Amino acid sequence: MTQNNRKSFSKIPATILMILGAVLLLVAVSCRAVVTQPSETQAVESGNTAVPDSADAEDDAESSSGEGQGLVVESEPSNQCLSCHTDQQALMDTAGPMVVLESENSGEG
Amino acid sequence: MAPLEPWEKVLIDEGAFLSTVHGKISCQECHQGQQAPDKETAHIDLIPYPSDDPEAFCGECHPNLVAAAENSLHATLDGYWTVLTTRGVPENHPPAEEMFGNHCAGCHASCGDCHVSRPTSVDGGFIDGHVFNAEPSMTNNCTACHGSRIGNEYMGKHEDFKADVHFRQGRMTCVDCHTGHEMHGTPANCQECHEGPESNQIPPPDHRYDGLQTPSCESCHATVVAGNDGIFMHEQHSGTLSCQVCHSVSYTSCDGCHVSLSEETGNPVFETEGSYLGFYIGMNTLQSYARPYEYVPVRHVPISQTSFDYYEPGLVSNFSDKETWVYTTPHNIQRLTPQTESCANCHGNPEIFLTADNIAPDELEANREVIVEVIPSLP
Repeated sequence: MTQNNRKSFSKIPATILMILGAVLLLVAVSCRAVVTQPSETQAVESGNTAVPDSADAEDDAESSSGEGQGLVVESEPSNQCLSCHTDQQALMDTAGPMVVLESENSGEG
Repeated sequence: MAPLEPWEKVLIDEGAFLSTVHGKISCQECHQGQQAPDKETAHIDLIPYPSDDPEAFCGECHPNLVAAAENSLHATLDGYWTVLTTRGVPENHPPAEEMFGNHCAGCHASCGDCHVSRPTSVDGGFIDGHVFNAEPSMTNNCTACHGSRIGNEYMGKHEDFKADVHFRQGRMTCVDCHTGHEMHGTPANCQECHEGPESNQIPPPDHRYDGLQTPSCESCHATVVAGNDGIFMHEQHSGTLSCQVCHSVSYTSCDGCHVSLSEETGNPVFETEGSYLGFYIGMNTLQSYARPYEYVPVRHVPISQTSFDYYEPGLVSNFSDKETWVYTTPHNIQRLTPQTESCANCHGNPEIFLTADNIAPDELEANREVIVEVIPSLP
């Protein structure tokens, strides 16, 4: 009886420890998922070669460090080609003037 | 076709392009250049048109298409050299090469000119935000180059003449007949190139009507061409007349084209003496197994003996060795035309045939084989 009681007492802390461990693991995993979710979403939305622009990446990094999690957001190398060529205003700002040449041909070609 | 704004020509549709297979390839893989935030630095060593070197950039994934397409007329432009050299324009002759480079070479079509952008000969620009289209756009690609004759005829842009029935009623675009097999020079079947057992080796085409007819009317209208559709006229004329003799209407011919460089800008320019609509039936100078017809519509091409005199007088030294009224396949097919209305509209009607009276005196010798000497009378 006493032995049985000892056994059940020794089982209780082990079970509690296992449950606590699982809870801690779940908390840790869910915290990491919350931090990394934005960059993953962006990557899916923009395709393989797309990367978040540098301002967004900085914001993400700041918010993650502000929460004290100590997790670093992984970012792909910046793609300046896409940054510019998907930005209509940037292209308008940097494009040369539209030159409409009057045809010097005469007659049907 | 309205011109595109400079920014519009290079704006990538991020959502559409990146979700395609080509969107998975990094920009620099094809275009090189630099990763830099400012345009000047980013564009150092930029390759704006990678498909100008198709083997290096397109051939890695599309080796068979690239290998075949290199022999297509869109790539070789051999059709030009065939007629130029026949008329005496010498090859490997600097003035002729310069003329060709300034006025003809721009018609070369790269992979990108058909599948990504408007052709560079009309100043380029993405069609669908850099998405690669398997099928070229009729208006942005095909008729951007083939517009003044084929495009205008097919879409009915000539007053008083309806659009081609295949467009008007069938809503068909160029690629519905001119398949990728034809464009890339990768035939869909053996018979598309080999006329019979005697022709087991086929050289690359050297003009647009070389080899078998691809596309051909009988691909879709087999019973009509064989005269098995119950229409007496098809039974009577099939084989003697090309389909267009009865089923096309007036088309554009041009006269007297002269090329030069602009004194003001130095740009290549041309000047044609005249263009006009007309319909003429002539003799078929390309009669063959594939084109057995005796009569075909003929169109005047704007060559003259002095067309290239700006570069060197006398470049067209054998002017009379090639006809100036040439075999043509107008793209304005109608079921009912003046020719189908009445037998007398053709038989005994000198107006519709190319006779010596219709030809300029200095072109008579060149067109000796095209001229219809005897107008077919009513049976």
